Amino acid sequence: MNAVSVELTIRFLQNLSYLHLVTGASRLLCETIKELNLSSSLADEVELAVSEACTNAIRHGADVAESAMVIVSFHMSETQLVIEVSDQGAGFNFEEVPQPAFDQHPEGGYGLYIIQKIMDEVQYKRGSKMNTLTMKKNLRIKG
Amino acid sequence: MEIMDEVIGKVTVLKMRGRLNSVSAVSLKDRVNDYAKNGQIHLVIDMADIDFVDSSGLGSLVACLRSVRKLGGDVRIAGLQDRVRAVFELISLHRIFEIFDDARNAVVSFQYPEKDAGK
Repeated sequence: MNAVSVELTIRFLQNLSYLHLVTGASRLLCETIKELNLSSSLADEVELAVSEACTNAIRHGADVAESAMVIVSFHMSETQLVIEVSDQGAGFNFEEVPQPAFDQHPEGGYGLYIIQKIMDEVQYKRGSKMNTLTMKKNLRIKG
Repeated sequence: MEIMDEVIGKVTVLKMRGRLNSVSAVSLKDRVNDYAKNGQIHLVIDMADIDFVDSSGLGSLVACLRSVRKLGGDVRIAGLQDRVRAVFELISLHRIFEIFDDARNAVVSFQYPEKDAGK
């Protein structure tokens, strides 16, 4: 197998109209690196995690300036896909985010739960200028 | 996301196409609110042509369900693709919706409540 090393960064204004661009990019990345022969379910999971993370970043950063940016970086190697989603919002306490109350079927609050369920490693760093959610997915090679 | 509708007796079928996410969630909720104001509270949401959902999109379905159930109606789901069904199950929303293989069976479930074929 040829070595794989791809880095892709997308910067966009905190506006939901850019969501399709960045989720589409995540899917394209998984589907076009032929050397890795990734499963379609992995591309589905990555697209979902990116959608959840970016929706959170756009919504929760909405109280800052209209010109605030969201930055999404993809780093792909043969063995792992690392995605960093950074925003300029107030941030949150990652450790204190509650599990969804599944028995009550709330309308929201599932995003972080979904990300943690489908990605292999999730970290959050709250910074003075940017907050960054880092999601890692180990790449399973088909057959 | 596109939404087309068809009225079959007392049932309104919403045929959706595209992506149900935070971008399209509002238009779905607005549409269902309009139906509810018009007395159309027996709704089938045909998702056979929905190829992506996220939790914001599914949250809008929960909001629609709650608004029509308050009025004595229901929202029933039909035609889930596997990847979409997986997200329903991931956040346990398959437990509050009646889900059918296709829109026809979902419509029949309103017309003949004693039948539950095609769930």
